[in-house]
Amino acid sequence: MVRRFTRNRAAVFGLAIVALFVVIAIVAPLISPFDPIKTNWGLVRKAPSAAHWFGTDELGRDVLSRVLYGARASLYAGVVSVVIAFAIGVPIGIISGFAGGVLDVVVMRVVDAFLAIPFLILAIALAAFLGPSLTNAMIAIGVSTAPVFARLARGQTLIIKVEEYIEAARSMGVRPSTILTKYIFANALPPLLVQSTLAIATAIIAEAALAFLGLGQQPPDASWGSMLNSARSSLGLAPWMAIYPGIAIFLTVLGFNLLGDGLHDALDPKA
Amino acid sequence: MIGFLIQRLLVAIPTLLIISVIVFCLQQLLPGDPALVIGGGEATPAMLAEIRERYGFNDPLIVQYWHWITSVMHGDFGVSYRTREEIGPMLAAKIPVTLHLALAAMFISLIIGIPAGILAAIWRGRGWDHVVTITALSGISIPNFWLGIMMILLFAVNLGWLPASGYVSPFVDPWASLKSITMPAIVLGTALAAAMMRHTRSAMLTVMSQDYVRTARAKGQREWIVILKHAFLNAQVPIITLATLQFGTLLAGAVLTEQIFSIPGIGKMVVDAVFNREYQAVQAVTLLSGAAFVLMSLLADVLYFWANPKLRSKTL
Repeated sequence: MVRRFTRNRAAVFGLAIVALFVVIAIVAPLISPFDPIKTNWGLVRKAPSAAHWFGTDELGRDVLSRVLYGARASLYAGVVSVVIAFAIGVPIGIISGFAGGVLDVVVMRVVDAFLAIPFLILAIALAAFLGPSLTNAMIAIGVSTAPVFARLARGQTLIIKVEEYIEAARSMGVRPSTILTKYIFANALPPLLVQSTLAIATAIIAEAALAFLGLGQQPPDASWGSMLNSARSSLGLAPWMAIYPGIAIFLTVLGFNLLGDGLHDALDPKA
Repeated sequence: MIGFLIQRLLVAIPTLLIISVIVFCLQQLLPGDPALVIGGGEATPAMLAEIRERYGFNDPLIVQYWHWITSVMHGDFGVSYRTREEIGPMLAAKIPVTLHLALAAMFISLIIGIPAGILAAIWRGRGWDHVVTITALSGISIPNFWLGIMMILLFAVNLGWLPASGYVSPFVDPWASLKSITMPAIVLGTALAAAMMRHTRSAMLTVMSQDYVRTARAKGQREWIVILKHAFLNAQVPIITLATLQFGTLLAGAVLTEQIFSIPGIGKMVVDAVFNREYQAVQAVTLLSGAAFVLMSLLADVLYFWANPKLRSKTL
């Protein structure tokens, strides 16, 4: 599987982009040339220069430093949202698929209802009712993404639970909880990890969207979405304020999408 | 056909009911006293009592749900606490605007996505296929609100060709309307076109490896007839399904696109409602968007049935 993955140049490129942004997020305080929240009224909306490579914003803050720090909010939100979605969706899907019967029918109707509400509308509604903050944005995105994991986990469970080794485990008297965790969850994990990678890409865009609308990371902390929001009012005067955070979102999301596609192909060469 | 429709409707009804319960429960997420959240910090105890009475917050949850769902079924989504306007008519006024944007975006998605996907499948593994695959992946990865900002920067701020924001109805001034809808439709349509390209390519590749396509070629049929008549007509079922579901999502309002271009549709309404603490309007839009998606799924099933002769002949 590793060989199939490394042979896929697009997937390796995706992994390299993701790794780069993870490193940037970790070492942001060391490599940022300026304090990302320190305002400087003498440097308002300055074009890119040798001192400020990406220019400055409407409060004289260094855009490069804010883009570097913004990687923290975006990756953190992307990963935590997907962890929340995974933690809610996967147990629901596996138990529902394993139990079958009325429980499965009822649970899947609820999952379908969640899936019917457009993802961003549900995330906005949840974030609006919970209140604007990065934590609540992550909860909103996580809850909105959970049904996708529930559906996938259930589908995998339905395939795995009829396998002979599950029959064997049952006949040997292995407890259902052990079958669920050690046999079904372990075997359903690869496709769920692929989905997680792709879901991080969606979650990063969703976090940027919520921050853009003022429902995510709150000022003055840096976030790519909120940087784009403040750039809107200065578009004619300082286009660099909008260009760089957008490129950062695009590259990160592209990286996760390429990585997810590559993992998918490596795990399922027939696809 | 009627039996099939009834069967699908029976599945859609409980889904719609569960959506209504989810949407109703959103209100329970409000931190603290919902009356205080709606009334704001400046509300007096008398005003808070009036809000509780008006919205039925003193009733048990199940009673509150019953009152809410029966009102919604009568088209009554409540009254805006700030402006005292009825939410139902406000929502109705936004629907044609969002519908116009959705149709324009869908048009862009179809005219780019389907031909590009067909060509990528025909030239699999060659230059054009790589171009389409990379473009599609980039289209999915670009945040559409950033694409919108970049287009405003280029076409409105720098070139001055198109208006940066605003909406004109096609019934008022068709030319101005076309200019106002072009950028938002491209922004929204390109993201959909990317998904459409991938889907069309994959559907065409599946069909083109079938025996009947090989037979058509062996009979000496011209290549374009093989592609369009034998392959594409059989690949259209998953494409129709995707297009219908995409349209269902679009009807929910392209929240960010409408916000960036100041288009007074459903998407902008929900954002404005969030910031004005009009939680009933947020609930109304969420419910409507879920219902629109369920209805479009139903339509997708019907179209799937209609476009698939095998399924039709089995039922007839």
